[in-house]
Formats: sequence, structure tokens, C-alpha cells
Amino acid sequence: MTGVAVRVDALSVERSGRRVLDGVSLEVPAGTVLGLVGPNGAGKSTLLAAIAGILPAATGTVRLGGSDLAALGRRDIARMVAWMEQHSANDIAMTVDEVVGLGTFPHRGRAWSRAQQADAVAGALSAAGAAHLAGRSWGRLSGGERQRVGIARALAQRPRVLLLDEPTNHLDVSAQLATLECVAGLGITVVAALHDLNHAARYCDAVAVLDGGGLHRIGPPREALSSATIARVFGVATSVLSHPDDGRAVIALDGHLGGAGYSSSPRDPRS
Amino acid sequence: MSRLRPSLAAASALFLAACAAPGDADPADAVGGSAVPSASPEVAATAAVAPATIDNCGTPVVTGTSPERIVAIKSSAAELLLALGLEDRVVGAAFLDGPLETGAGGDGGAVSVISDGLPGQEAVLALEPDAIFAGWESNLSVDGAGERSRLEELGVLTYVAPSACKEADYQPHPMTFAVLMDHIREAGDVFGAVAPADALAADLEARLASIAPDERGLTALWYSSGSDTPYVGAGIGAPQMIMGAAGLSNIVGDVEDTWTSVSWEAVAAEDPDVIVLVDAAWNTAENKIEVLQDNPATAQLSAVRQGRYVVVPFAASEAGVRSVSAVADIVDQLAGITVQD
Amino acid sequence: MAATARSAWGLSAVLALALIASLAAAASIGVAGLSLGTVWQVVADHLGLAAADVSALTDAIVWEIRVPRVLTAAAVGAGLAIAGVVMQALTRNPLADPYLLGLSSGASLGAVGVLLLGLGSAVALSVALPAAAFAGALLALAASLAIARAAGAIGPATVVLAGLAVSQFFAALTSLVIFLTAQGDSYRQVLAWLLGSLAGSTWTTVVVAAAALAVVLPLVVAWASRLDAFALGDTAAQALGFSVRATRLALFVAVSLLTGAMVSASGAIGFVGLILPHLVRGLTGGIHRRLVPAAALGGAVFLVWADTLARTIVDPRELPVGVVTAVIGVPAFVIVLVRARRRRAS
Repeated sequence: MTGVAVRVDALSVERSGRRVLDGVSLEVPAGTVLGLVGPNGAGKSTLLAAIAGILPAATGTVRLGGSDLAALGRRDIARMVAWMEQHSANDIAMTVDEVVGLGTFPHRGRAWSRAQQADAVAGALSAAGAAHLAGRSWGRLSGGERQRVGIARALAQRPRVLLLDEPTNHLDVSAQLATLECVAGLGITVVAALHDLNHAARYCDAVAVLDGGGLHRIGPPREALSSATIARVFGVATSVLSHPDDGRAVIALDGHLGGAGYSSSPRDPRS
Repeated sequence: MSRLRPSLAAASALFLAACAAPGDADPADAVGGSAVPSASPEVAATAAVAPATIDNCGTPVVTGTSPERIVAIKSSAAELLLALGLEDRVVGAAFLDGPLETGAGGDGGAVSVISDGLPGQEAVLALEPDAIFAGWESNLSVDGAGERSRLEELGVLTYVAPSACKEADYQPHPMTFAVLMDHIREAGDVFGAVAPADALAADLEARLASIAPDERGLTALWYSSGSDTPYVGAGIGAPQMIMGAAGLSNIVGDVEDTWTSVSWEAVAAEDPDVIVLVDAAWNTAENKIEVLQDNPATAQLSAVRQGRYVVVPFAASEAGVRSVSAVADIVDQLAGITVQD
Repeated sequence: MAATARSAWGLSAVLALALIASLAAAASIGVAGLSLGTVWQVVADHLGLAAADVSALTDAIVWEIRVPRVLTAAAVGAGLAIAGVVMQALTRNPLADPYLLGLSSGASLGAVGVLLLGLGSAVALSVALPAAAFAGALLALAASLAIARAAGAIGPATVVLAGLAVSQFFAALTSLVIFLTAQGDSYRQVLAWLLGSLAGSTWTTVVVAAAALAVVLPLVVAWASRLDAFALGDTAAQALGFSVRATRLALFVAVSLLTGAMVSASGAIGFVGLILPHLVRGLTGGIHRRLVPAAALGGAVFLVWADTLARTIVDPRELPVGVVTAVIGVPAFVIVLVRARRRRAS
């Protein structure tokens, strides 16, 4: 798919009467990976939820491949956008195939036959590098394996856009990188909220820095993740270096900035 | 609490008087103005009882005192006291099962009813009783009239109808009229009415002997309550005692319990000749007949199809002074019932 | 995957046969000691297949006591099991049961109120009691949902807490009503109702229970995939393309109607709705398209046998069936827990 996969125009979202996202506009070209970074409460999850059509827009629009989200039905949206959850539930009494099969939900009924569903599941499993897990019981998977299966489930939806909300928080580092590599290499449009700035720098084509419900900066990692921006938004001193192999941005942490520099967003519900 | 001191003192005085001079004082005379009919010298002599301790449902109770201020809980206790002529000494009755039957002593309507339900401790103690006669052991609990040990400390004698002891060891096994007479005599010892108790027991025994039980060997069900699962008289309690004396064979008679829940199927399997209906204000005999007729299964019982019912008032369904009349009443009702196969 | 699917359908087929056999057997077992031939004579007679030569009383025992009772037991067992499956899925909580929203306490309050009001007429009672129980259950449902809403939203956590509060409240009210109005031995009838019993089963209860099943079961089966999706979490489920809120609310109401109908027929029988889902899930897995029918059949078989035990094991007395389901159910539950733990550890 070419063109713009996701387009957000002056989007504002309210939750419990509070404006948690204010006037955000951005574009995600098809096939690229956009990383969303920002402190807690900046609005990353909210933005993802708005793109998925789960939270309504108070003002502004979201467009998926040119179609206005507000005009689409839930199932239509679900056929275009897949969501990967942060924490997989512990006790799902299903096999890997069955969990991945859940992803075909939006396509069941008139759209896909049983055979097509089975195809989608098999394809998704191999694209996610989880084909070897087929037939296993969910309860016995490790955290990293569950994440793979989660990706496979999202892929079984045959979406154009994949949304991930901090997909690597609870994994150990090798699982983290394996997940991000897999996701980045899929070739579909990905919007991922990430905690780790270096992950964003390494795997994303573009990074959007959110702060207090607003979009602070968006651009390639080297531009968006400048020391000045990081200091301003995160309240930490960093040096942005160049990787010796390919010159990509590598962010070295120098220290905490006390006093006025610490930005715990006044609108952070957790502060 | 201070109001109790005088009665505590009085109780102690009585106690000491009784202990100090066994055989000298007639407890009945010490209580001036009682309703006990004046005793002849021979009776007066035999009426003096040496204080003894009996085991009442596991609690020791001293006999030979003559409580002046008795609270009766449940009709069985109240009616026994009335039958012993102790009405003047009953300061209050509670948790009755129906209108009190006039006893040998006087008009039962003069007894003041302090509570329709189980009274609390304060309500009972406010009457400054020196004795409580409970028809059910559960009446004497923390959320009822009070725990027995506590009441003893306050100088209140507590006595439970022995046929209603909860612990299996104390339950009559089975309940018989002989046991009932013993209980009546024991109550006479406890409440200082030995002569009336003897007289009452003798009277009841004579009346019982004069009743000719039904000769036909009819089978019966004693239906107390319940519609889906009937609660019925079983093998060792008052219902069995009464039915046996009336000449009825209890279809649940081999269950070793006083009352029990059975299934209608079990009843249908036996198809009793007669159904004894317990008539209570909260669950009348008419109501039970409706239940029987409304249930398509029980409607087929021969007793239901032919209306072979005998009615017994609830207060007569527990062992007490009404039991003999209940037998007579049942025999009378049976005389009017014909059983064809 | 295909093999699992086949074996799961095989399980349902086996359970269906087991149910039919259980119904036949249970109808032939009872304290009245009727022979198999007699029982089937009566059934055949009523089905118009052959005439029977038995007394009216024997006919009544079979056709008015036993047959309605085993059929009601089957329907109630199925309904409670389904309700348990759905509640566990909607709240993602393995300890959820049909009475989660305070339904049993609400029904008890309704029933006890009617029992102790002394309606006088037994006929009126036989209609008023189930109706009041049902109404009480719905009242508890409304209260639970309202409280959950006030606490934020009708989500898994708020609903459990709201249901707990409502349950306690109605139970306390029930105790109060009993305390204020119970006379003589009327408390026994109340106690029997509170423990749950199939002794009052009639053809009416069969119809009521079966009707409730017929209405709710198709809905649950149609939404089986949605129930699966709930396991992923609310957001992920919503992103799969259906309204989580609306589905959850609709299913809570449907299951409450189902449970209310069952409770009105037989009182609050415990453990069936809690344990059957776990027992069956161990055999079919968590996909609801297979779990729901199997749980329904399993629940039916379980309760038919539990009730048969309850009404024969202490001849001529009757045990409350809730006692039997607990005595069987709790050890079964413990075994399931231990096995699950061992599976996770391996």
C-alpha cells in the first residue's frame, strides 16, 4: 500500500471531561514505523486508542487510508487496524492457533471461509516468527513467546495498520529486541508507543514526541530526539551520538535534570 | 442492675430458708397467697421436698425452691405452669404458639404476654424474675432470654422442658407418656408444686387409660409444615407418642428423630390411610389441605382423595399437658373416618 | 487443531448420550421402589405410545414427581453451568459464578418475603414464590449495575465489587425479614429454600427452566467468539470489532434472566455454576463455541445425579441438593486446581 496510511488532523480527545489530547496532527506514510514517545500521561495510549477508533474524537479527524474513521463501522475499522495489547492475560485456556485465530474475528461470517481463516492463521504465525509455537498451549509460553503470538494474532487480522501500546515493557532485553525487529520488518504500517528512546531511535522511521497531550515534535529519530527536546520533555540530560556502523542516532544518558527541568506534565493524572 | 438486688436477696433468702430447715417449712406455705389449694396435713407433709439438684439438659438445677416470679417461654411451658395452679406466680409469658388453654389453676387469659417473639434479655430481666421456664432449649441463648450460666449468676433459676433438650443424650429416646409424667413431676419439684404435679400426673394417666385407641391399625402421616419438602413427625418425638396412643401407625416411625423432612415420593410409596394436619396460625390445616390438593402428585394419595384428615392444634403437637387431650381428640376424629380400600 | 476440534465435538456427543441415559436412569430411581418396567409403562402411556395398567398413585409418582424433577434438574444444571461460563468470561475471573451480581441474595429476599407474608392460599404461593424470586434477582441485577456504573464503568472489577455489596445487603435484609416474621417452624421452609432444592419441581418449573434456556443459550452460542475475545482484555477485544460495553451489558442481563429463572424454580443451588465450567474447560479448552454446549450438557448430567443422590441417599428423608453439589463439587474443584498448578509448573 502506498500513500498515507494514517492521517490525524487537529485531533483532540477528552476523557472524563478532561482534555487529554489537544490539537494533534500527524501523518504516517504507508509501510513505515512511527514511534510515539513521551512521559507518562503524555497521551500516547490515548492517541493509539483514537486511531483504533476506540476513543471518539472531541474535535478533529482521523483518517485511515483516506477514509474518515468516524464514518466507518467497528468491523470495518477492525479489518484495517490491529491492536496489540500491553499485558497478555495469564490464564487463557487456548492453544496458540486458537489465540491467533481470534484475530480473524472481523473477517468471519460473510467475508472469509474456514479455509481462508486457517490460511490467515498459518501466514500470521510464520510472519511473526512463531510458526514453531503452533499447537502449543498458551499457558506454557514464556513472555517473549506470548508477545510473538500476540503479534501473530494482530497479523491474522490482515490489517493495514498495526498499533502497539508499549509492547516490550515486561520482557527481557532479547525478547524486547526480537519483538521490535519482527514488527519493524513486517512491511506494514506500524504505530508504536515506546518507553525506551533507543528502541525508538533504532527501529522507527519517524518518532513523534508527545508532551502533556500535545505533539511536541515529529520527524526522523535524529531530528525528533535531540538533546534539547529530550531535556525539555523528559527532564534528563543526554548526548545524542552517532553509531559507528551506520550513523544512526544513539542516545546516551548523562543525568537527571533537577528543578525546573523536570517535566511531570501538569496534566499527568498519575502525578 | 440495682433493681435486681432485692430479688436477688429474696431468692437467696428463700434458698437459705429452704436449705436451712429441710422438712420444717412447707415452701408452698412460705409463699403467701399462692393459688395452690390448701393442702391437707398429709399432703403438706409429703409436699415438703428436700432440696436436690437435677441435671436439666446438662445444667444443674436445684429443686425444692418455690420461685415467685416465673417467666414462661412457649406455650408448652406456660400451660404446664397453669395446669400446676401456679398462675399467680407467672409474671409473664412469651413466644406463645396460640391462645393459652385454661389450666387447672384458673383463667389462662390473665397471664400477661410480654412478647410475641423470642424476648431479649433485658425484656425478661425487666420483670425481675427468679425463674424462667423455657419450652425450647434455644430460648435460653445470648440472643434470647439469656445464657443459662449468666442467668444463674443473676439468681434466676432456669429450667428447660426436658423433652426439648438439644443434646441427643438428654432427648427422650423415645418420648412416651410415662416420660411425660416424670417430666410433669419434675416440674412440680422445680417450681414448688409437688402435690399439684402428682395430682395432675395421676389425672392425666387416668384419662389416658380411659381412651380406647382406634383398633383398625391405620397408617398415618403427621404433617407439620413445608410444601415442596414436608416436615413431618418422625419416630421418637411427641407426634409418635400421640399417634401411638391413638392407635395410629406412623409411616415415618422408623426414622430416629423427633421431626424430619421427607420427600413426597416416600409418602406416596406408603400411601397413609390418614393424614394428621398440624393447625398453626402461620400455617393452617386448610392451607395444608390446599397444598396437598394442589400438588398433582399428592392429590392422588387416598387420604387426600377421600379427605381423611385429622386436625391437631400446634400447641398440642409438642409434649405437654395437652398431649392426652390431643390423643382423645384424634381418636374422636378417627371415629368419624371410614376407610375403604 | 482439527484433531482438537473433532475431539471436542466428540465430547459433546458423549455428554449428550450420557444425559439421555442419565435422565432415563434417574427417572427409574427413587425411594418408591418402582421397577424399570413400571416407570417406562407410565412414560409410554403419557407419550401416547401404549396404555399403562398402574394405580393413579404410581402414575403420579412417575409422571408428576420424578419426570418433572429430573427434567428440571437437567435444565437448571445446564442453565447454571452456562451462566457460570459466561460470567467467568465477562469478568476474566475464574471464581465468578452465576450469582455474581447478587442474584441469589435478591431471589432469596423475594422468596423469603413471600413465604413469610403468609399468603394463605397455597395455590397463590406456588405462583407468587417463583415470581417473587425472579423479581428479587432482577432487582439485585439492577442494583449491581447501578452501583458499578456509579463506581466508574460496568467493567470486570467494578461489577464484582458491586455484586458483592448487593449480595451482602440483600442477605442482611433477608435475615431481617426472617427475624421479624418467622413463627414456629416456618423457618424450616425458608431454610430449605435458601439451600436450594428440586423437591418442588413440577411441569411448570420444567417449562420455565427450559424456556429460559431456549432464549438465552442461542444468544450465548452466537456470541461465542466475542466471549473468546474478552480474554484478551477490553481494549484488544474492542479493537477486534465489536462493542465490549454493549456486549458485556447485554450478556449480564441475559445471564441474570437465565439465573433468575433457575433460582425461581429451585432456589440458589451452589457450586454448579462455579465448578462445571472449570471441569469442562479442562476437556474442551477455552474456545466458547465448544465450551458452552459441553458445559450445558455436563451441568445437566451433574445436577441430575446430584439430585438423585439427594433424594435417595437418606431414604425417606431428603437432603438439600446444594449440600450434595458442595460435597461433590468442592473436592472436584480442588483436584482441578492442583492439576492446573502442576500443568503450569511442568
